[in-house]
Amino acid sequence: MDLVNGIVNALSVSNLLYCFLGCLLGTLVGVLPGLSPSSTLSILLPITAYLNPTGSMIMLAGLYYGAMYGGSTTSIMVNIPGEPASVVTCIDGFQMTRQGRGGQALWIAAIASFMAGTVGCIGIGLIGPGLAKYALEFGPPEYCGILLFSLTMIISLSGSSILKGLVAGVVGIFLATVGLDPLTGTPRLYFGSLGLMKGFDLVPVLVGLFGIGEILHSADAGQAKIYEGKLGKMTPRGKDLRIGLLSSFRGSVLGFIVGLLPGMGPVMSSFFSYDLEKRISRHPEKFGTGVIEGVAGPEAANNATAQAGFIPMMCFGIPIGPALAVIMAAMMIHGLQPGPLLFTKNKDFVWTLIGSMYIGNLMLLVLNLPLVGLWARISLIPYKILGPIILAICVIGAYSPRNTLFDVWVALGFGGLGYVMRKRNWALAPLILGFILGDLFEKYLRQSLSMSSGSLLIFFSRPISMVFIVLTALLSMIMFRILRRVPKEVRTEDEKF
Amino acid sequence: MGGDGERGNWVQGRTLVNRKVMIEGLVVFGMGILSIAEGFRLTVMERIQMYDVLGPGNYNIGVGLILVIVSAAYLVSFRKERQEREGRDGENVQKKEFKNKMVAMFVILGVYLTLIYLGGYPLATLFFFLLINRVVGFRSWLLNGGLSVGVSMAFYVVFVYGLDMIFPRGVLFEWLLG
Repeated sequence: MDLVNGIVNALSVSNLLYCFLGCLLGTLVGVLPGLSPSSTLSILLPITAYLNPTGSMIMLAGLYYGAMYGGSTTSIMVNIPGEPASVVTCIDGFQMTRQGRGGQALWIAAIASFMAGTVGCIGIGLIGPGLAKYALEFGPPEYCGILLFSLTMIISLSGSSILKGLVAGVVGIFLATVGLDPLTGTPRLYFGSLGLMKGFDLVPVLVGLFGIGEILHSADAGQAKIYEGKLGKMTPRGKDLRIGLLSSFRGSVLGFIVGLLPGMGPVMSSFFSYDLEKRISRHPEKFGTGVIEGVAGPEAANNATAQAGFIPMMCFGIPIGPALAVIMAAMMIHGLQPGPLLFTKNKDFVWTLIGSMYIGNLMLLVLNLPLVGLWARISLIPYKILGPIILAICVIGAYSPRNTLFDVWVALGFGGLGYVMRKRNWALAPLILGFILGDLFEKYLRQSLSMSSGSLLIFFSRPISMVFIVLTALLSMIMFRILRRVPKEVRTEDEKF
Repeated sequence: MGGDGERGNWVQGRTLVNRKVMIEGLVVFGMGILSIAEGFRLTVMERIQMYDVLGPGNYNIGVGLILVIVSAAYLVSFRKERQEREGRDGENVQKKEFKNKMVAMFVILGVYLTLIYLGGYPLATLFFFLLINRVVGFRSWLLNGGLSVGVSMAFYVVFVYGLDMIFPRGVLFEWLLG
């Protein structure tokens, strides 16, 4: 019933418009190789502050899964992944284009993404509320435990080096201590500056690290050359259709399960799916030469993982990647605290958002299939036109939340930092995660210790917090083991997402 | 490029990376020391505790200590990191060109912010687009001028008129207008 209400709410004119805008922008972002979902979300974040919370979250979520959807287009057509999760799609997708079967690859990618999106939406609707019943048992020690658990994501978001990720994560926690402390209001690390006394606002930090940093990095890397492929027939038939649909289903289920596990991103799930398809195929030697299951499986998997990522993000405040970290930040800016209480305190919001995802998936299908030729052409927009406009929007984005030029200087500083970090292979996501969660972690840690007169035993005497602390230790060990087996390149790509 | 040349580049590259690792490690180490010093100031010198057992100072000391530990671990682990072999001369020239473009864009952004403060948003935005369009590749001043005026006006209409955003008028204008 809640879901029906959510869909009805999502069908209001304004929500439909936000959903459409998000899906449209997301597809555009997915198509443009130089622009990632996380940087676009960061750039748009300040503008959504002018919208109502539900509308802005519908738009940002649409942008996120829309980018996943659109990312396959350039992978298939021009062998350039629009976003990192579509890297695997290039392998067989581009081969299909070279054989004049690009249309079929795009068709099956769109259907696979739609199927995965739907599986994801149903999963969120089924699993999310089940966790809400524990909400009332949460006090400061429990929240502290859950935040510690969330901080383990630093390990999996570390990219090529876990140690570098840890350093970045702790730097993020340190940067969160600048300004007034969350309990007593004591100013820290402000050096007499009024701007620093207020602390770093999240928006300029995000706009700088992801928006400005990425544009500077693109300028440094030079422009990509684009190849224009042929589409051919759109709909696969017979055996190809059957194999493609079955692979899509397998990819959807696999991707969804992977998305529920903290530490697994869409890039990893697309590689897992490709590997699975290859293992169960009767002709594994044909993979890499343009087989339809090499496109359908990974595309479904990365989309399902992206959608499933909303569950740990909304229920526990655990983002599986930088883009979801930005969406989580947007929720917090709008006063919506991710956690088990979200499903009870903001029930209407949650179900409207889930409802909008169903509708958004349909919109994406309509947007992607008939307009695929247009999207392929848009990927040819030169960087020299987009770059300066995006930088000017970044300036406005950093300025608008508090109307102060100090924040724009902060964004510029973080832009420089973002550029250096990209250049030197430092993952950005751990820094953001540390920065976002650092403040809350400090607040709940200090409240918990005040409750127990300074005894750390409070975390072990309460079942929920103890469970999360044990889970933190277990998960850290498991992630260390898994990440050691995942190729370094895959980890680096997942960090970019 | 001959063998000696390649080895020379490689040795030079290795030294450069070691220095970069050293700088990165020391910056993080410095942050740790700063956090500890601030924590010490708040805990020992100002003694802000009240009902709060841990207090802001001790938390900062904790964060600072972790920063010092991880920066030390980083310095030890990555001190031998080596840069990949340098590319061919042509690639290096192109890389340098891209790097110059990036530095120019960063500087122009800084100038833009200063101009917003001094001359106000509309004028600064026009100058920003004129300069940055030139840097990214619009060599013709006529085309650049037209594009910059058009985009600046579009920004003004959308953000100032449309979204009612309030930007600085510029201290120079305010001073001139009294």
